[in-house]
Amino acid sequence: MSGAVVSPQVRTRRLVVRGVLCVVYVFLIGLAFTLGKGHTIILDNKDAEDGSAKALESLSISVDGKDPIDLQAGERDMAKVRGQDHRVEVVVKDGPKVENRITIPLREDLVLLSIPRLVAGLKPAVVPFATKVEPPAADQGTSNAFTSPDPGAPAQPGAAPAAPGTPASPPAP
Amino acid sequence: MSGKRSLGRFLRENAVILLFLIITILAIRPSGLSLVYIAQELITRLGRDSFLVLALLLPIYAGMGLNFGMTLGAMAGQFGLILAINYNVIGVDGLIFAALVSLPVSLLLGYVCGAVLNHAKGREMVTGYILAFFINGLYQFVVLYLMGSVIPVRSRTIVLSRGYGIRNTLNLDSVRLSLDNLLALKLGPFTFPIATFLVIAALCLFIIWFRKTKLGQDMRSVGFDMQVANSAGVPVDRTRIIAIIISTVLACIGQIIFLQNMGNMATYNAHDQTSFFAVAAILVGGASVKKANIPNVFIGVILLHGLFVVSPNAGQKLFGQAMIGEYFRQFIGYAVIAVSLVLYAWRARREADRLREGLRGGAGTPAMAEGGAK
Repeated sequence: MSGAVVSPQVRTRRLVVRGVLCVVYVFLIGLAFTLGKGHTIILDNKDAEDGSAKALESLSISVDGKDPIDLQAGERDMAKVRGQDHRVEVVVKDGPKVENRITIPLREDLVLLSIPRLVAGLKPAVVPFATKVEPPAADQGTSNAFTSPDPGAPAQPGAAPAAPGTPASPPAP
Repeated sequence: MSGKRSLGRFLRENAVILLFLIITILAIRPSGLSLVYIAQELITRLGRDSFLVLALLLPIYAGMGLNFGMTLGAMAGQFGLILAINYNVIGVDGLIFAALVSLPVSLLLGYVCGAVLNHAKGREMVTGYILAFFINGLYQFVVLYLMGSVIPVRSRTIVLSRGYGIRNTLNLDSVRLSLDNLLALKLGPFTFPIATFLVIAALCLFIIWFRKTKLGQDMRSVGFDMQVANSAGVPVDRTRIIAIIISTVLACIGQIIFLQNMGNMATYNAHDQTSFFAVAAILVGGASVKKANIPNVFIGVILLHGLFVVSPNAGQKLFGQAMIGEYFRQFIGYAVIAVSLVLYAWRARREADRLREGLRGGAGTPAMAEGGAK
């Protein structure tokens, strides 16, 4: 095997095949990443920041056909989803049934869906949700006795989803 | 007379299996656990561990003994899982992503391990064990110092509060049971993780097929006698390296399957016991350093984990402390490996003595002596 003389054509062909295999491999990683990327959507039924839409009195929202979540005005909840494109169905009490598709940016782990804006047909209804990161206290980082919190939970206490009336960091425009 | 001899031979050959079976059966009653609970636990653990134990087969075929170096693959798998958690890739896609990312790492580590073991022919097991310690140092360096400082980490939930390094324990909720629940079949009180079993069955089929290929035959001939294989034109070193690479890659995937079932990961020591328990399981299943097959894997996993399930409760009931049962696990694990290795050495010496006697009496031939020693 090692002693065999390989012609340049065969060598080139091997190189091409290996290169293609590498590209396919990287593509597969990218595909798994894109399809499996998890996002947390904060379902927000508050007045829009810019005042363009008012909170809805009572509604029921379902993401990707999952169990509907009931929200009153000023309430928030969250839904965990996988992938970028999702179907959102909003049933407003004594109002219309709105069905819409939303696309979440690939890099965003946490986005805020403004339901009033979605129902009003305003764009963008989905905005990245920025959490305020505080530097660790001086005495932290020396102990080994800690574990990772639930990745679905907000990164900072009270960041998201906040209870009604709790101040949260504003969504980026 | 012949029946008594064959019974004695059967007892000698299956001493470890029988010992385990007896201890487990005796421990069931004091443990107070129901048979349904024990059976369900065994089904779960069969799915969790079988893949890892199957990873040991090819190096045994290649005459390299029990691959303690499979820890290297486990570390690669954990690295992949850390990245999956970091990028929040969830579900089965997260497992596939982790496997794809860690595969090149395990290939590289497998190659390194195989190359090192080729320089330590005849002492592969202890060399693999020590090599795992060495690579563990590198793993700790990467995970504890480079991740977050050199290797970017996006998720703040997995980084130590000092800003770099990964936390001691990672929550794998995003991929937890994703493979097991992909095709879960509920039959009466039992739940079967069919998807995991299918993956394991696919690996079994791969091993059966692989044994029949040219490379598989080469591997077995290398395992039988390296000199003879070399004389016959088999590239011994290359074949041994391939056996270790495949084992390391399988260990990598096996560790991912194991951890998705567990649901959390001890970042710095989850891999420590991987090879230890896999080796204990295959030995309990009746395998030896030179001989193993697929049934050994499943028998071993069932017996070892049967004892692991009942021993803490039995320890609690008999001695008033559950910790005694936990210590018992460790003790049993190491004892099984020790007893199996001693039995193997004893049998090999006995066989060699018998053949030597035969040669002295003119009843044996050198060819028989060579074959018999294996």
